[in-house]
Amino acid sequence: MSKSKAAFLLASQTLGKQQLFLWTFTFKDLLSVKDTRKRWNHLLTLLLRRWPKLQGLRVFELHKEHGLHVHLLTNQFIDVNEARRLALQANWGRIHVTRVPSEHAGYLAKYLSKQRAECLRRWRLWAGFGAGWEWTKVKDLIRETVFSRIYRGCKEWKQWQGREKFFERMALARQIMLLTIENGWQIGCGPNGLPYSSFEEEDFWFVF
Amino acid sequence: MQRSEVVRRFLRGELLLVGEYRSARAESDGYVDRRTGEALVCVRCMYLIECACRGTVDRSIIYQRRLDITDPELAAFPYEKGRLYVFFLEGFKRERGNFTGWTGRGPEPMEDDTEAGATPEGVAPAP
Repeated sequence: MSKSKAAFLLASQTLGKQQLFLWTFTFKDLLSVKDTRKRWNHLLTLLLRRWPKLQGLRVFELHKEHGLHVHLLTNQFIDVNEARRLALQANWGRIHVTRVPSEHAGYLAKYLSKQRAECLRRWRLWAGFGAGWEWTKVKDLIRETVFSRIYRGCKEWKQWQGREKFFERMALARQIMLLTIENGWQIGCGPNGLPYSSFEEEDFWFVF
Repeated sequence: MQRSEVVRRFLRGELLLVGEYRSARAESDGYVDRRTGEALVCVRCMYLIECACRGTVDRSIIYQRRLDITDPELAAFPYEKGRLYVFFLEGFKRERGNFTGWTGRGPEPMEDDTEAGATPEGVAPAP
């Protein structure tokens, strides 16, 4: 699972504590992705002007036949006729909305699993909107794995700073991870539960 | 799994890796939101095997995500160290000579055809 998808799932869990509505906005004609994004910004401005307390998450999906369209997850009931009127004003086409149970809040994450198209490079495939809530951002997440914990242990031991000798660092952390799995060491410690600093680096390559 | 079955599956295009089982470990894998403390966690098993992915014997790691358990302590590894096992890979990467694979299921022990009661390779079947 990518970090972005994990952040989206956590954000949708936060949003999903209330009732949810899943919206899909599409176009009648096929548009370029840049035009779609512009129109989405316009539509979002109109929606937030009309419903200032609206909160939600939006996901871009590049469909292989219908181009880019937008899925929204919102936590507030809004009049679909009014939303349709605003969508027409922003030159959008079809609108579809359905209620979703809060446990299905992560449904839209499936669009984030698709392979990213070249034209969407560096795009935010999903984003939160609305005032009064804090959605999880990618920068807020930390990964907790055996490797990351071993790497942090090595970093502390060797006083690594910056990105110098990155591949050598990765190789050492990987070597220690293999030894940890093979010998059942405690994570972050060498043999007999001793910290890495009790040993020489060569020991991890040639002795254990 | 018999050797002939492994070959048959390989020729059918399945992604298989045969390696000598060294050890395994289960860990909690996931992301933690450092702001709220909420976490998305699942159990991931790591199998350490020896195989010849680079032409020489080398150690590789195969990851398996376990959605059926929530506690890494519950993961059991009834495998025999030093024995050959077949891993059914879903994907793999080779980065700077290190092989890492992903599988959706546990490995199966490799058996010689003779062990399973079949005729050894190159020997005519019994009449």
